[in-house]
Amino acid sequence: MGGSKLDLLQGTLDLMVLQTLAAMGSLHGYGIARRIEQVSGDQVLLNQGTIYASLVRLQQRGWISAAWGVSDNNRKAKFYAITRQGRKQLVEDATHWQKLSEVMGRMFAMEQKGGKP
Amino acid sequence: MIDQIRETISRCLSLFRRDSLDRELDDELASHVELAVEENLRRGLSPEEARRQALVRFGGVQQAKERQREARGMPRLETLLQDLRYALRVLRRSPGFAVVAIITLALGIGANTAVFSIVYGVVFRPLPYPQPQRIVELTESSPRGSGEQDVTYSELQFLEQHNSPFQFLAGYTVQGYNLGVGNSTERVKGQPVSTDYFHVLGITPLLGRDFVTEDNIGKGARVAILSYETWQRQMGSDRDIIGRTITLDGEPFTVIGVMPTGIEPEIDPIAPGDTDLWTPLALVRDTAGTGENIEVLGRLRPAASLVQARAQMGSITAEFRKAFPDELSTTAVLSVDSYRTMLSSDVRNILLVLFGAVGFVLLIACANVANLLLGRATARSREFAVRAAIGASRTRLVRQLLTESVLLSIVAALLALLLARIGMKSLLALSPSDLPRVNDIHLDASAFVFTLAVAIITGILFGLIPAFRASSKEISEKLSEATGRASSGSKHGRFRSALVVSEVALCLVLLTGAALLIETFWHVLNTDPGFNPTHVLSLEVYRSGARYNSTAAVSRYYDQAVQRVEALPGVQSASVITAGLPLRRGANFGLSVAGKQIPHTFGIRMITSDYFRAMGVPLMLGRSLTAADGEKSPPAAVISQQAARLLFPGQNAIGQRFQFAQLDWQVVGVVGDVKSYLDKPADPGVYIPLAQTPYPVLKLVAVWFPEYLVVRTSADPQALSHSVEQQLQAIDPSIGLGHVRTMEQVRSAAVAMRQFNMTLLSVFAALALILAAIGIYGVIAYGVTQRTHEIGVRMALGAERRDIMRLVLGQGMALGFLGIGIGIAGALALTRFLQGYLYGVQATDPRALIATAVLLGVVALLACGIPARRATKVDPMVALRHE
Repeated sequence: MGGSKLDLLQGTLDLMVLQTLAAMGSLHGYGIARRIEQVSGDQVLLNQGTIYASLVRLQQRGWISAAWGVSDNNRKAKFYAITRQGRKQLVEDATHWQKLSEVMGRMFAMEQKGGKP
Repeated sequence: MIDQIRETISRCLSLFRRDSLDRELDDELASHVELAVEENLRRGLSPEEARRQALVRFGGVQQAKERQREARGMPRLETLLQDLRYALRVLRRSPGFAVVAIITLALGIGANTAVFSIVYGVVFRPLPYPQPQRIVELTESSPRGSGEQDVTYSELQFLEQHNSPFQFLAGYTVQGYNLGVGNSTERVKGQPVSTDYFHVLGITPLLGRDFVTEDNIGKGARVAILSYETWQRQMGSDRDIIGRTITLDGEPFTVIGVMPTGIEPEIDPIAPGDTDLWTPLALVRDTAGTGENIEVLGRLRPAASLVQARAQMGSITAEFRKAFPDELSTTAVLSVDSYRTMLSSDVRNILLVLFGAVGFVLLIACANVANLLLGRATARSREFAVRAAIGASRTRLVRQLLTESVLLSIVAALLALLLARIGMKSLLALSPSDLPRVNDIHLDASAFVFTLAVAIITGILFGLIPAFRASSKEISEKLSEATGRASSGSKHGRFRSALVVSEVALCLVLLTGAALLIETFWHVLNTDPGFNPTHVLSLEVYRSGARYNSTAAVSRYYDQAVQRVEALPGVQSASVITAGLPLRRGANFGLSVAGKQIPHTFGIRMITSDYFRAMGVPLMLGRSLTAADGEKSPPAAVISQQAARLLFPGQNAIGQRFQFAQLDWQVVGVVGDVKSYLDKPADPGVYIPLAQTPYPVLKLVAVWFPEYLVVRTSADPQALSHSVEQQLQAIDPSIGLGHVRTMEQVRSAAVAMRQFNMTLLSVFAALALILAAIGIYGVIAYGVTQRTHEIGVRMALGAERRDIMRLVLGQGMALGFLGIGIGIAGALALTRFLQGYLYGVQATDPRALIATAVLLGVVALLACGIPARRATKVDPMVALRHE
């Protein structure tokens, strides 16, 4: 893998968007994309455009809401915010991810003890 | 879960807001890019670099939009809609092609829908009773007797005691009644039934009560249950009818119930049609019940299968033989079969043959449309190449083409439903009265489902191969194929030729089948029925009531009737026959010679003196029956030649004696055989004078059969029907008069089923012939167009018109002959399914095969002739410049 960026797993982006909105409050699409890039330390391979498929999906599930508004520098933009249902979903998904990542961690630890290169 | 539902709903809704959603997305993406540009500018980049980097970070704008659309909408459905819109556009752009294809398919599908409706209605539609598959019919058959027969009253009682496989078991028979309500009298169809009859069917009365055991004790209670229709018609839907009295044949009966509507008539060749009322079976135990006249139905136990029931019938058969040790019963076999199967058993096979035949028509229609599509695929190859070049996958192209063909077939299906509606009307108008369950046939939901399924399957069937062909070739090859000349179509050409060959082959099979049925029909029509049907009128007479309770009384009435009718101008002679008219089912009886029962049944008819003259039956030996053979004189009989052979083999029948109805009859004459069925050998016939017949026999026969007045006239018999009726009414207005038919009409009715089959198969064959001719024409004409250049070269090099003609015709006729050859093999393999319906001709009849092969050959020649002539008109100069 070296220095190349991480490909996102299916559904990961949805979770990142939810988490970003939960942490930052209301944000427009560009803001969400930038925030994810910054937090990941530019480790994530993200065409910013792909975020819009994720946004519409979350909206249709009722986990985020959207409204047109005006940005800090007076530009019209669509702002997204997480809903109560979205927060519930976020807790569920986050727990799931943490468990999964613990399990994966243990799996890789086992491989090292086995002495394989 | 709720989130998923919400998502699905949103996705569906988004289909209808595509444009506004797209606009909103455009705005949103634009603002995204602007925000990014502004941030880059703040970081000190030049305006161009700021925009460039913003776009790079964003990724493909089109892709982002597409992914968003997929996420929000229903991508598959949208592709389908897109394909459909495109297909509609394509079809609208070539209306000629669309119209030809749709009409061809509509004919094929419509014919199938119509025949399906009939086959479904007659053969497969479940009976309108609860759990109809549990209703079975129980029959007694004996290798000595003639096929399946019904049982007697005492046999029914035995079966009722040994009914282990059945939850309910019941017997029924049929009896005509003169129903009197107040002052009016009407002839109705009654059905004496045993107690559990309606339990077997699983229906309960709408009003009043069902029969109970007490109704069928002893000689039976005088009670009746009315059908819904009779209740409506005769009683004006009076809800207080229960307990009221009606008269049946002059006797008072109490109405105890009314049945709901929708009871299917049982199959009864003597009295087809709905039953008007039901009476206890015990009423007829000493009349109809003494003979094998009772049909038995059973309802299987809930857990029992037909197979289990059949297994149990084995042991019941053994006991049955012990219980009834007479000659026929000791070899009897009891069997059960599904009631629905029994209802349609006579016509099931021929209907399935017709269904198969109409399937062939559809296959031919499909082949024609596939041919058209292949032709178009060649013409559209550049279009496909362009679409492939700009990125359409092969699957996408195939899907597009299949959408087009299924769209074609579905449009055709809509037209087909219309055609089927019209076709069904004429089919049912043609359909003979002995086609069972025909009244309820109509285009229903099952026909719609069938039509839709057929349309989709045929759409894929005729579209698939052209679609794969069209999408298979190399793009570069197609794009470079500037003018699409002869070289391009060689593969297509072979495939199209194969289609035409199979069309011709299928068509030949159908034509041969039709030819065989036509030949059969001709043979049946030209069979001598044994009497002269021209200028003969027959009239059904139903006498009833106490006034006619002796042979003398009946005889007096008919003597008067004959006298009055013979006095009418235009009448040559008149006479009476009971127990069955020629070419209609009649009563059969056993009789003995020298006290020994003859192992055969005889069609015994009671007649008045002039019968043979009136019906035109030739006297062969001895004398006819005369008015002198009356009550006081010794019993005299005339027998048919076949009866003479059976009763007195190798002897002179005249003067011989036989015993029937406790009387000793002397044969005084022999007449020619008269047929009951045109396509079967004549049954042995015995004629006795009505005036000498014991009254119980007359009474028994009158239960099932009308007595017929037969009138020979010098001109059109129909013209006399009214005055004959008037004469009969004048003697006794209480007498019921039924159908008036000329004997020509009786003969037509006897061949109606055959005529129906023959007409249907001929129509299908004609349709197939037309479609096949169009198919051949299409392929050859297309070939000529493709080879215009080549033909031009040949002519320029000195080929005569004759040579060109031979070239084109040769190509077409090669296909034709190949198809005919394959078709002959197919016909030899398939026409044996018709064997049971043929008369006077073999299924492998070479004449039928040769005639159809020649006909098809001529049609093929004509179909090739038109394009061949056009080919000879090619101007070499024009053709060469065509480059």
